[in-house]
Amino acid sequence: MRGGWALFGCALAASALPWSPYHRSLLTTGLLLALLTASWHLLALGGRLSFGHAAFFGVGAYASALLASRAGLSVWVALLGGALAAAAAAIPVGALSLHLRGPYFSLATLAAAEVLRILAANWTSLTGGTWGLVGLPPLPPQGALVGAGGIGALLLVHTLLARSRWGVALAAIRQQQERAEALGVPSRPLLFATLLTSAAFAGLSGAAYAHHVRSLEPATAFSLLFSILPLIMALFGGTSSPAGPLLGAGVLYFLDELLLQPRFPAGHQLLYAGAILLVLLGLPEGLVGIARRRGGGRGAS
Amino acid sequence: MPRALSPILLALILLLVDRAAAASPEVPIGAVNSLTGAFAAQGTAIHRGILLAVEEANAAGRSGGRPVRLLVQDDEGRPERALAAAERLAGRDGAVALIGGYVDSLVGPISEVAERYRTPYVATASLDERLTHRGYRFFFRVSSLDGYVQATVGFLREVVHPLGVALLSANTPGASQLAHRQKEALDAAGVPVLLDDRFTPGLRDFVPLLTRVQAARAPVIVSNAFFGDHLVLVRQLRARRLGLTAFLGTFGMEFPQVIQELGPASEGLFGTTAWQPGITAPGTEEASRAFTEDFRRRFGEPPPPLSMHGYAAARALLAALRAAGGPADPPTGEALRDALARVDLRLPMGRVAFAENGEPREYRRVVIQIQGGRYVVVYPPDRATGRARLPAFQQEDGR
Repeated sequence: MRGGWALFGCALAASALPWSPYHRSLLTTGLLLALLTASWHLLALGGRLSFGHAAFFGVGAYASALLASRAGLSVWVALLGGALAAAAAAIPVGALSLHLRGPYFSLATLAAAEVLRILAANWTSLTGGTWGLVGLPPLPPQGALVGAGGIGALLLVHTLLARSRWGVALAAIRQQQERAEALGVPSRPLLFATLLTSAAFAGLSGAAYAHHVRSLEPATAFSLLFSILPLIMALFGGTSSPAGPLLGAGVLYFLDELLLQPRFPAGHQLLYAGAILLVLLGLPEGLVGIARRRGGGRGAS
Repeated sequence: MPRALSPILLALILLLVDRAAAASPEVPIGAVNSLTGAFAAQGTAIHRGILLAVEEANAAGRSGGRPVRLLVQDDEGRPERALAAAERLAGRDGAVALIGGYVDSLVGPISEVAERYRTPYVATASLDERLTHRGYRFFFRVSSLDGYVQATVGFLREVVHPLGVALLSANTPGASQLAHRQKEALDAAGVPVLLDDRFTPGLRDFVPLLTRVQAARAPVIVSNAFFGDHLVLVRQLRARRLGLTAFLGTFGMEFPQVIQELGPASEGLFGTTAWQPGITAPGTEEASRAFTEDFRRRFGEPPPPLSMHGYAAARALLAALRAAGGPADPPTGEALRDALARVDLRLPMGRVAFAENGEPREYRRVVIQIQGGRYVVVYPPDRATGRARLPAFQQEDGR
């Protein structure tokens, strides 16, 4: 937890520094991916591995884009609207999928992202359909703060989890759901609340992304990339503490964009494959596992 | 935990060291294309056309006394990378202009950055009409939707006279808008659009779609899809008896790989092209041959049709650079923009000049047919080198 706040401090400080627009752009994307990864991790705490967080990312992106460009709301308000819309979209997704476990839940979320992409492509009167949306209002210059702020809010949720029965109950559900239920843990409502929270943060990330790149089409907003990246980044960072996903996202993204991409433009994305192999073969707890071993077990989850 | 942060610190330090963008006597131009990823083939073709134009200009001293340095960025087909690349080029590396781009989802973000920095951006294959209706002053492009609409609809109306048409379009912004405009124009011309369907690029099974074409009894298919989709679609089409008169593929049918990959099954197919070796704007035969030769010498293969889009855009930009800049200073964005607005060139792709909103004043595509394993221009009449063979479609017997 302490590691998480330290990373949040770094993110906040970095957002406040006077970067060049290029580095500011990278920082914004990096922090938004970190927020998306952290939102994915929140749901994973309840033992539910989502393969479809692009669903919430995309709904957040579209909702915010439409609120700002069609309804004329300020971008800040639209961003919140995006987060709420993603949470709202999580209601039917959760109702249909949360009783599933393991790979069945994962596949259901994968399908949800695809269904929403098709919906966005065909509900032309609302979303502009396959033409997409262009010229969206830009993210204000302090845009990187959205990522940092979202991460901070998410860490507050983790604090709340750690101090309440919610966190313990989620851990119990993750470890063995039947036993937790037998002990009286109301697994469905708890998982539902976790999914909605997770979706809201993923939606915030997508919303800010929409105003960051300023154009949107169903294939980008609901791209498989936004389902897979948080998975890789969280596993690489380590899922045993809230710091892990943030660290994984930060290290992978900035390592890739700042060091590898300029030098190895053709093969730099192998980094992500390498990260997964590393975790599978020798680093089951991810980066935070190394930190913990070196630090002699400090910084408990 | 602090130790785990050390990679980040290391990255930051390296990043600061990396900032050494030394002043050089060259004029930097930023090229953003998809050199890897889903659009790598198209992006590389465009990039090579740009590269050739720049090298040519440098060798001939055509860029106003100072050589041009091409700063290359790969957008990997991802909008956020295109955005970061444009920010890097226009902001950090001091590029005086940006060039490149194949799909509008990537051209859009780059054009926003260009406008903010007041750095002219010449897009090489953009179509989305909304991009030129924003009132942006620094956005130019060498292609337009009009060229596609005029060629495809004109050909159907004047040559094929079909009883009806099925429009099968990829669900991307460019293809959807093209389908919309074609439908309007066909309706106006009294050619019934019997089917107007969308599919996701990369579809492997066109049978449901083809069943709908069959049910609609459409004698002509217009496929507003990309190279790879045409291959799958045509193979699945050949195995069915649909009684088609013609198959017209809008994008990518001009790639020589169509003939290589489909072999005899490519016979009779129609496509469109703005330029390709041997098919060039009247009066530019010599320039076209020279480009083809130079390209082959430089890259060891014949130029793909799209490479001319890159070449034409780069030639326009280089001409503007020469007109705007003295030998001492690189021109300001504003001066370069005004010079671009005045550019008027005759190149193998046709006339390259820009309207006030950045649209090309002329972007012509011709309709081609594969006859005897070669591309023959069949429309418009003033460019035709042969007659369209109709009906152009024989099904193989289904097994």
